[in-house]
Amino acid sequence: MKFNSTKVNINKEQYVSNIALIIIIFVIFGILILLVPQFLNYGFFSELLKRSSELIILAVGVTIVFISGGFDLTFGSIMALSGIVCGTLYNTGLTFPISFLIGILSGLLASFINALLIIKLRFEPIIISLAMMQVVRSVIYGITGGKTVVGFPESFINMSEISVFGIPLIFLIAIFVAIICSLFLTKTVVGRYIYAMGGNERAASITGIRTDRIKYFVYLLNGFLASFGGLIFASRANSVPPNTGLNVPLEVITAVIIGGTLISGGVGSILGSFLGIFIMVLLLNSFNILGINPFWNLIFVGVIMILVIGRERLNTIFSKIIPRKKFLKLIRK
Amino acid sequence: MRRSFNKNTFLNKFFINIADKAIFILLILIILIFSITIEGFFSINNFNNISRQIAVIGIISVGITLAIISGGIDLSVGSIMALSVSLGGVGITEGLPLYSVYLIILVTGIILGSINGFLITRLNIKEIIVTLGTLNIYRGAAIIITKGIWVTGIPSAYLFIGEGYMPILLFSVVSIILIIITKYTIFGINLYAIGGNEQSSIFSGVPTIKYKMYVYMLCGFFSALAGIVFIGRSGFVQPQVGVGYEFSAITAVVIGGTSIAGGNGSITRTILGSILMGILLVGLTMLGINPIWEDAITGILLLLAIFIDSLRFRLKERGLKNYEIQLYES
Repeated sequence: MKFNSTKVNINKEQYVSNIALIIIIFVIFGILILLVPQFLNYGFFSELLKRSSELIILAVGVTIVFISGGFDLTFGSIMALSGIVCGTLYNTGLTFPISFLIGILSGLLASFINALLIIKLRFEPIIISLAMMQVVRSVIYGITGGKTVVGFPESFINMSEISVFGIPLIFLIAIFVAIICSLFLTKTVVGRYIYAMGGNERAASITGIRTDRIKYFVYLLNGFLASFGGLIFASRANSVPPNTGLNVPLEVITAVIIGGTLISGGVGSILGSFLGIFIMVLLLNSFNILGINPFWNLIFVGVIMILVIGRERLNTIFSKIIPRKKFLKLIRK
Repeated sequence: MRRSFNKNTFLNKFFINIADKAIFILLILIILIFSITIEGFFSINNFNNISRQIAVIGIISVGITLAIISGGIDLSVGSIMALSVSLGGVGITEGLPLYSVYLIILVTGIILGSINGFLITRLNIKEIIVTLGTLNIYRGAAIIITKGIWVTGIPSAYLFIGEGYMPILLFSVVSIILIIITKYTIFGINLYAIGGNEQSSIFSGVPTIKYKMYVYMLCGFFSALAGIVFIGRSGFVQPQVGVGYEFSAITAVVIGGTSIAGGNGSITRTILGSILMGILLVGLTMLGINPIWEDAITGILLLLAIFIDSLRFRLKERGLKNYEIQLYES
C-alpha cells in the first residue's frame, strides 16, 4: 500500500514539473517576442530547432546515465572526436559511409574505455570522466593540430537543410531518438533495471540484476548518442573546430537537471530533459539576440545549475524532515 | 587451528607497501630515465628551471590537498586564480601601488573560496557540483572584467616574485606552514576526521561547517597566491590563465598517494606529486614532444594514480578479510 502511494507521488511530481517547464517555455517565448519582434520569423525558429537537435540527442544519453546513478563528462569531447575523425578520414580519401561509421566507432571506443575504468576501478565516475575528457580533447588537438576540420560532402551538409512539413529533418531525427529511448526506459525490462539500479545499486545487484553489464550498456549508449550528435553538429555547422562542445557538458547537464532528473540516480524522464534543453537553447540564444556579451552565458548557466541542484537538495531535505514531524506528532498523541 | 605463516597476507603486505611507496619509485625511475636519455637534464641549471615550473601548480595543489583530505574537492581553483589575477590586472592598469594590488588579489581569492564554502555547507550541495558550477562562473566573470584583453607591460616590481629562487622559496614556506597545520593543530587533525566519516565527526562535536568554510577559503587564498607568482613569472595578465590547473593539481595530489575519498594523505605526498609532475612535463618538453599532448599525459597520469589508489584499497580490503579468517580459525 505504502509502496504504491510513493510511486504515484513520484509520477505526479514529474507530471507537475513537466507542465511547469512547458509554462516556463511559453513565458520565455512570450517575453522574447515582446522584446524582439523578429523572433516570430519562421527562419529564426527553424534555426533554433536545428540548434537544439544535437543537444537533445546528447541530453537523452546523459539522462539515462544519470538515472542509472552514474555521471559522465566525456560526451562533449566525444562529440568533437567523432566529427573530427569522420572529417579527416573523408579528406584522406575514404568513402563517406565508412568514415561516418569509423567516426561513430571512435566515439564508442572512447566511451568504452571510460566505462571500463569507471566499472573496474570502482571510483568516482566524475573524476575518471574528467580525466578521460581531457585525454580525448588532447587527442583531438593531436589529430587536427589545432585546425578546424572542413570539407564534408555536399549531400551530408544538405541533410541539415532538408525540412519535412516545415520542421527540420535533424530535429525530427532527434525527436525520434528521444521517443525510442523514452519507450526503452519505461517499457522494457532493461529500462526498468536502469531505474532500479539508480535507486539502490546494491539492492539491485542482490536481486540478480547484472549491474556491471547494464553500466557498460548505459555508458556505451551515451557514447554512441554523443558521437551521433557530434556528426549532426558537423552536418549543421559544416565544419568541426577542435574546441567543439567545450561548454556542452555544463549546458546539457544543467538542462537535464532542470528537467527533473536527480544526479543521485533513480528518478528522471527523457521528456523532462527535452523540455530542459529547449529552455536552455531559448535562453542562450536570447542572449545573442539581445546583444549581451556571450561570456555571460558561462556565468548564467553556472548560476542556474547551482540553484537548480540546490533546490533538489532542499527538496530531499524537506521530504526527510516532514515525515519526522508527523512521527513526532503521533508520539505526542 | 592456527596458521603460522600465510603466504597470501605476506604478498598482500608486500604489494600494499609498494603501492604506498609508488610515488618514490616513480620519482626515482623518471629522474633516472630522463638523466640517461636527455643530455643536460641532470644539472643545477635545469633543476632551477624545474623548481620555478613546479611552484605555481605546487601552491595550488597543497591548497587543494586540504579540500581532498576533508573529503571534498575544489575544481574552481584555476578560475579563482584567473578572476583574482584579472582584478589585480585592473588594479595594475589603474596604477595602484604594489601592495594594494596584492591585497586585492588575495582578498578576492578568499572571498571566492568562501562563496564555494557557503554553497557547499549551507545549501548542502555536493562539493564537486558546486565547484564545477563556480569554475564556469568565475571564468566568465574574469573574461567579462578584462573584456578578453591581455594586460601586458607589468611594472618590473611585480616580476621580482617570479624570479630566481623566489617561487620555490614561497612554495616551501607555504608547504611548511601547511604541514604544521595538518599535523599539529586541532583544525588539521579534525580535517582527517571529517574526511574519514563526516557524520561521526559531527556527532563527536567537530564544527564541520566552520572547518569546511576554512578549507575552501584557504583553497581560494592559495589559488590567488599562485596567481601572484604567475604574474611574476609570465609578466602578463589574461583571463584564460589557469585553464586546466585544477586538473594538474588533482593529478599531483592523487599521484602523491592521497586518496580522493578523503580521510588520509598528507601535504608531503602532494609536494612529491607536484615535483613528479613538474619533472615529467619539463622532461617531455626537452624530449621534443608536442605540448598539445600535455593534457593527455596528465590525464593518463591521473588515471594511473587512481588505478594505484584503487589497487591499494582493494589489497587492504583483502588483507583485512584474511586477517578476519585467521582470527576466526585460531
